Amino acid sequence: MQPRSRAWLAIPLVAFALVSLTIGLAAHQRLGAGKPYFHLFFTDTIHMKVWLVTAAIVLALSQLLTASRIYGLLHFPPPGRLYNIVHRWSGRTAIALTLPVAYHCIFLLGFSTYSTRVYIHSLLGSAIYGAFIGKVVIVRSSGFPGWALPLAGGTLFSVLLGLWLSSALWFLSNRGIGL
Amino acid sequence: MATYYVVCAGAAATLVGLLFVAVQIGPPLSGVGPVRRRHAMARSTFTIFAIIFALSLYSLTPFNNPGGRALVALAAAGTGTVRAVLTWIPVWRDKLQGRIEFRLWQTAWLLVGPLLAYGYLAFGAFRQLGSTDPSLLDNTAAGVFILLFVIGLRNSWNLLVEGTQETTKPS
Repeated sequence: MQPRSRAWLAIPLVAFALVSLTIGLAAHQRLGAGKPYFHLFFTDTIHMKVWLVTAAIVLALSQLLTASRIYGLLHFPPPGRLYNIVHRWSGRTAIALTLPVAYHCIFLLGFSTYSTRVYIHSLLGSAIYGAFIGKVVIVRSSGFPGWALPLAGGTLFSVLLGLWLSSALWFLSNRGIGL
Repeated sequence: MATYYVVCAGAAATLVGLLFVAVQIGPPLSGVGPVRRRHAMARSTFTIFAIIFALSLYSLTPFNNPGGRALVALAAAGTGTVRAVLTWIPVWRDKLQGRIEFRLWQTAWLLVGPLLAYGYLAFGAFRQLGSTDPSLLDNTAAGVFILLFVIGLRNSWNLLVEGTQETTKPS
């Protein structure tokens, strides 16, 4: 496979910037503010969001483990391509779990700056799907340098971790653990 | 301390991501000779960042208590020690059998440095188990994390530089 020119790296970067900016602007508009939202079997929407994003971070940690196995940093059985499949599906599930959370955050709560934690959370929330789209562009294309994929994956993991630290962990620490 | 642990968890997660980038630059992590030394350095560095990340995250969880944290820190120190030794055994075997050449002290430090940090962490955890002061382990962890970050960053930098040199060598 012929490696692409370095200029091709601008494509995932532009995708990242465009998606992040669009989400940030949409969140700023708070298009669905005041509308009711589902909460499944949880006591309220916030608890549902906390546990969905916690499940997503657990899956992201399993992504870290499987990536370490794929890249040869950890060795555990079985050999073969099992971990590639687990890595792919845990990633897809993690992103799917964030969707109802993101919808509530973007369209109902909106972009806020009333405290440092909320400001950081809003910025990271705007960036997560940009990072995801950037990674998908790299995964689905060929010829990018080998370091591009771990860089995109690492960015996505860090953003998701930052989101969890600034929301779910803060909530569980301050309000206690509950469903 | 919560802010410190948040920063440590975030930094460790980011550095693990960058470690994947560093191992992708240069020859793949397998085989014998200097590559195996590079492999050992990458695995050892991964353990370092993983331990900082896991301990920081556990310390941030709302349900932990000083005794439980001390036990988790002991387990982390034990795991780190075992993994460091197991990681470096093949490299030292190759060195002692004359199959590879490297600077002795430089490579010894790659094993000794993390072992010192894990030892100090275990010491802090033992002290915490016998004390009611919850800040004992926090103070030890603060120093240990800084030491581990220094070692991890130095290793990552070396991996990056060695990888770049390997890829730019004329064939």
